Amino acid sequence: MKRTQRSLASILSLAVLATVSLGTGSAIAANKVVKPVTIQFWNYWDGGNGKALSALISEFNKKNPGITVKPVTFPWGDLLPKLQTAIASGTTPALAATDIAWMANMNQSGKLVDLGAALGGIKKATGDIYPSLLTYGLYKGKLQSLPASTNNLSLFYNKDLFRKAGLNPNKPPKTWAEMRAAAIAISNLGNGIQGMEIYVQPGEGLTWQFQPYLWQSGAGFLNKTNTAPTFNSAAGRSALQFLVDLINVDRAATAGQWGAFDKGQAGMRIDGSWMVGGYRENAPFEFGTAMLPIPEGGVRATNMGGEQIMAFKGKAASQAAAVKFIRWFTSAPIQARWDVATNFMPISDTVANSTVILKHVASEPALKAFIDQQKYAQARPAIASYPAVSDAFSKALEPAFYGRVGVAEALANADAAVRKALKSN
Amino acid sequence: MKSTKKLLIKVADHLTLIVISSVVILPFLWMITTSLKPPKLAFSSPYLIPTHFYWQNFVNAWQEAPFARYYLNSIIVAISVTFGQVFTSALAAYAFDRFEFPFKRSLWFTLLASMMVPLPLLVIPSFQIIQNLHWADNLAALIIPRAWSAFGILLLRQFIHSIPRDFDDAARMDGASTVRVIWSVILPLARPAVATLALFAFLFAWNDFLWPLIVLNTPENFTVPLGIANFSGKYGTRWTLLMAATVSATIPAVIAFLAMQKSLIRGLASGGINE
Repeated sequence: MKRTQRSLASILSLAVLATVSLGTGSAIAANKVVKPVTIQFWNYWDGGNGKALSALISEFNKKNPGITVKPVTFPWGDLLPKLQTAIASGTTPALAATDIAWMANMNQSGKLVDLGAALGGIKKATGDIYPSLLTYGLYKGKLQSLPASTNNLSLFYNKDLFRKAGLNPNKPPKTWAEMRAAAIAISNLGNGIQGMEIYVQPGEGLTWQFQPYLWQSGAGFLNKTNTAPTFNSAAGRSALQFLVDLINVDRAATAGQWGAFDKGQAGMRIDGSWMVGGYRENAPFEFGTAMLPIPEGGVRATNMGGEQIMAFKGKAASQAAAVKFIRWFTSAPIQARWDVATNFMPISDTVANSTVILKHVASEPALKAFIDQQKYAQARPAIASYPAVSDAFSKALEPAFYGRVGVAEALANADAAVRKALKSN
Repeated sequence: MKSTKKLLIKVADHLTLIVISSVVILPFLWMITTSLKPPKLAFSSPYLIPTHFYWQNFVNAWQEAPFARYYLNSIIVAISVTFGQVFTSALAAYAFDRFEFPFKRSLWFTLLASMMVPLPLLVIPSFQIIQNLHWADNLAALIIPRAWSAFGILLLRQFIHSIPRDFDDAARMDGASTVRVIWSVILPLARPAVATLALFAFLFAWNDFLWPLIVLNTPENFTVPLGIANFSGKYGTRWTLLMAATVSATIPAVIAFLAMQKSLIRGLASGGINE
């Protein structure tokens, strides 16, 4: 008893000491800020991406005495609620980089700095950045954010399994029919090996993986004004039928699991360029990449992902520092090095054709498919109700993959649910 | 004959216990095994019993972020919240049980009703108060609002109710003040309940994620759960590091549980029969 009391007392005094030292630490920091400005940069780039960002930022801080940018990493799923709370309570950071899918929420906040005005006009601020990437930054004629990185979905395939199934490992499928044939051949290897892995968990993951099939088959997702769905058409039904048949008729894919490809137990998967580095290092098989196969008479299309960087309104000095950082970070030489470190895609032709990038792609051939395909990447609707739309869409589609609901019925349900979600916002 | 029957019952009991404990232990084993896998094997077929011991995961996880700082923050918060809750709950529970005062019943029911409000619902109003007090991004925001607990008051009151008033009277006769009675007589007698409350408070503060996420902005103030969440990102989850960090984060909770295990079980068992 005595001993516990004594140890409790010592823990308490330690805790008190620690609190006191914490207190003095921040007091000193507060006194030191006379003219130099320290700004926070909220983002969700973790792991290797986070390290690459920190290295670039310390370079910026060295080059710009008086400005200290401090990266703060939050978990991906939590950055949006965190920013929304900050916007509501007026405690926004000076800088943030967010998922392009959240930009409608950010744009409507009224708290973003007009980068067009701050950087000498939209034209000068954007240079030769691909126009499709600007979809998310332009709001009511103002440029409120710039692309910080971009990426897209391409086809990953397991060359070892291709060889085992008697397929040419250097000739990945180009059409849906070829993809189907390859999936069937690989699933015939048995031992629980799937021909293809399809993402069917409800949520944005399902929507984002399925949209390319819609676009390739000629169906859309929403109309041009983003007011009504356009996927419930013959083309849309053919896209969903293709995947449903792959699972339930050909038995060449299994609904429900995700991760078989990582373990070498699935022949193909659609995923992003950020997976290239990890597979090169750790995958227990030889992998290849290819542009997404398209249906007979279809068009090339993939989905566009990435992040936008933005500055929040605040004290003049912080705002100026934030704008300065954005200009630096989105400049071609820095973007090229950022892409090399992260395997994200170039945001402009200048970046794509820089010697740094060309050298990197030569050393990592798996990136070529992604770079070739970037120009076919389509933007998801930049509207505030998009998360609700995507959620409703994926939930209506999920049962179709399990064969519980017919394709036509699932798309009709999705149509109704999406209309409702569009009205809700 | 009788002894065979007894033996059979015992075997059945233990079989049931073994099955239930394996259900509880499996995720822990899985966590430990994954934390020791070399990154290359994270991609390969799963196995349950650790066969590789790649301790570097722990080094890497700890170097990824200032985890030592996160631990210090979490320890400060968890210990302060624990002491705060025990202290305030003891005073309030004693007052509710031993004293008569106006509106006692309605106050008691308001207190109980406050337990029905789910935490996420309180986040925004709480955050606005913290903001107005200028406690945002400060550990005070994690400690002070959490130093009170309706559950703690309920738990201790139930227990104090079972302690005969004779103890209070005897102490008073010897000249003890009310605070002295609570500190030297009631709390030692209520030790199982206090231990239960302390453990719950500690685990709650140690595991809390949403509130620290909303309140804290600078990495120097982050707590362990915030650091751990960063191993699972948009561009993939680093399972081996995530699990190594989780194993490290579980250790204080396990130690706290083992230290208070006996009192905890007594405290929970007695809570049910006291009214």
